[in-house]
Amino acid sequence: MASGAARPEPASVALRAVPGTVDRWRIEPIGAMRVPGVVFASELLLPQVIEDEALRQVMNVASLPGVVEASYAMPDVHWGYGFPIGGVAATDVERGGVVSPGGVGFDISCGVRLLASPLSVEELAPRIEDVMDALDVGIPRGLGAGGVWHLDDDRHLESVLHDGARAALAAGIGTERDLARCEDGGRLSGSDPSQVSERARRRGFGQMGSLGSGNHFLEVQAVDQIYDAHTAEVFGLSPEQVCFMIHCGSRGLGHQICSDHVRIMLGAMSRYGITVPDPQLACAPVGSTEGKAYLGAMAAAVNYGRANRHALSAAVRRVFAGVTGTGDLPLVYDVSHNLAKLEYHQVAGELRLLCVHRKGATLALPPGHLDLPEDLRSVGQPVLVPGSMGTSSYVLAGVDPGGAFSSTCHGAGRTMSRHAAARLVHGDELRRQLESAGVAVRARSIRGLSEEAPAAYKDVDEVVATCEHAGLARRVARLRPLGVVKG
Amino acid sequence: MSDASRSQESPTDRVASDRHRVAGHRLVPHTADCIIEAWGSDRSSCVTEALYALVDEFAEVPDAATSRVLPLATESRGAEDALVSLLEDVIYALDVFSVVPIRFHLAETESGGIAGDMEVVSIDQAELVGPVPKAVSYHGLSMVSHDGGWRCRVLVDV
Repeated sequence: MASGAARPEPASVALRAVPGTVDRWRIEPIGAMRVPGVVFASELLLPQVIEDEALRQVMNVASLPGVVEASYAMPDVHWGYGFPIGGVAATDVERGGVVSPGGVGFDISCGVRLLASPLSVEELAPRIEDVMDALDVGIPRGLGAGGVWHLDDDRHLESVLHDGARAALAAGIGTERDLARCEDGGRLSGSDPSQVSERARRRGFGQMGSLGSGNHFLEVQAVDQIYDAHTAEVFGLSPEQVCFMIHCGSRGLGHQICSDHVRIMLGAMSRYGITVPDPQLACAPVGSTEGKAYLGAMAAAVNYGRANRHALSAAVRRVFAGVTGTGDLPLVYDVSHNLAKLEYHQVAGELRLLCVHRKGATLALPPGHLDLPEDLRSVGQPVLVPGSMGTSSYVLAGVDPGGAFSSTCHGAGRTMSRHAAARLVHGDELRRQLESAGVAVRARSIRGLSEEAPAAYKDVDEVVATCEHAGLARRVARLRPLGVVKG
Repeated sequence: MSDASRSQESPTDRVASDRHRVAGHRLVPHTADCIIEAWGSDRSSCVTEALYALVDEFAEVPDAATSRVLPLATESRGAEDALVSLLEDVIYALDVFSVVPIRFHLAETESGGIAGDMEVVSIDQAELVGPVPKAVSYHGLSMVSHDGGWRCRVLVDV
């Protein structure tokens, strides 16, 4: 039993810079590793990357059956369970590749949505406190059940699990244009609600349209800097424009699905002759009964998560209309950062069907990709990267050729435990600091506020700059916070 | 939440004197989530401490809060499975019944499971002091008999 050490010893891992590349480091395969590890990190980020267990987890992921190319770590990587948070790994579906619920994480389809308003910071300034007060009342968050969209019955929940944000639209929530600006049109195909347990359904039933707690939030933001005026215009962003960013996932339903299917796979692995170095990496071949069951349930949770953010968007529009008289808040984009998807990629010169796990990593489709809606196809997919509370967030765009199976970072990435962060600064003091910096705060928990102190995270500016230098994505706009609503 | 028979330690405390304590728990920092360590003289008291730790991580409840009772049981014979099952039952109650447990009463059953009940209060009576637990991870999970008692370590997703 541990004798009081808060962290495990840092992994003793040999990282070598990859010649001819920028901010790209390689871990040669050793032991059970089937592929190398590849870490994207600047010299500034590297000490934080090697400080905790994340690199050991990158190596563990490299041992999964069917894994191809490399086990990747984004610049915001940090210690998770099973997979690191900020990890990307793909397995070859037709060559024994596995799917691992731990490679998606508990909060399936946790992701970010950005809404753009027609008002500038100056125009909203006299009413921003009113907007924040109305959001404080109108956005369910924190502990327990309760959401802005009350599902009628189990059939209603079933339609959400099948159709995601499309089910919300069918219920009169949002617009057809919103769906065009959602990853997969707001609905991930392959959903199989019969693989969603009754326990997961009960947890999800009363939480539709709620933020939750922890690092989830709703922020009022301003477009602070534009790096690419044309792309920003295509995305619908302009200087000093007020935006709303929503960061949340599939609530208790997604967590329960992950728990249920990790347990199923732990019981099934021996039948497939699979052993893993960490039980949270439990997995099964993609084409197996257990693999298909998980992917069907996971897609259902993805759809729940997208409908959840869709419902919260409607609540934000109602609040904004109530205060300013206009509810016109077009969706810039909605994208998940905890997800496994079946995608075609070139591997060693061959087009292969892969199961790409992104755990705390964001899809970043390049310009020209056919999965993008026509109006975005010339510039690439919008990537939404929330910063830590009180710091900048970013809108990036996918690039060609990109890297890590068209993936990039998902946020700033924690460096400090919640406890350490709470000891660093009291919530009341942090609130004062934020408000003196012009950021209005509406938090359910003062302690929860302190646990999300910016000092507990990496520097998001450095993280996104590293993504750009490493060729994973490019910067389009930086957003600064005006107000934060937290659980 | 504490009473005289149990001990709580801050994460930075050392556990040199643990073996002299009947039962206790502590929360250990993790970069994004929370690790619970608990110990007790037998399996059910060790699990009970882990459950108290789970609640301490996110909620404080005033002594005068009005409670009601919900059953809590697992048929799992494996120590780790029993621990995970009961922690998940508390998380389920939080999400679905909107209640926070304040006292646990658990004992081993003849069939090798653990059963009893928990006194709970409405979440309206609780003060949120940390992120809400949402799932139990198998990463680094352990529950072992140790030095005449039981100890466990479990990572909780928050």
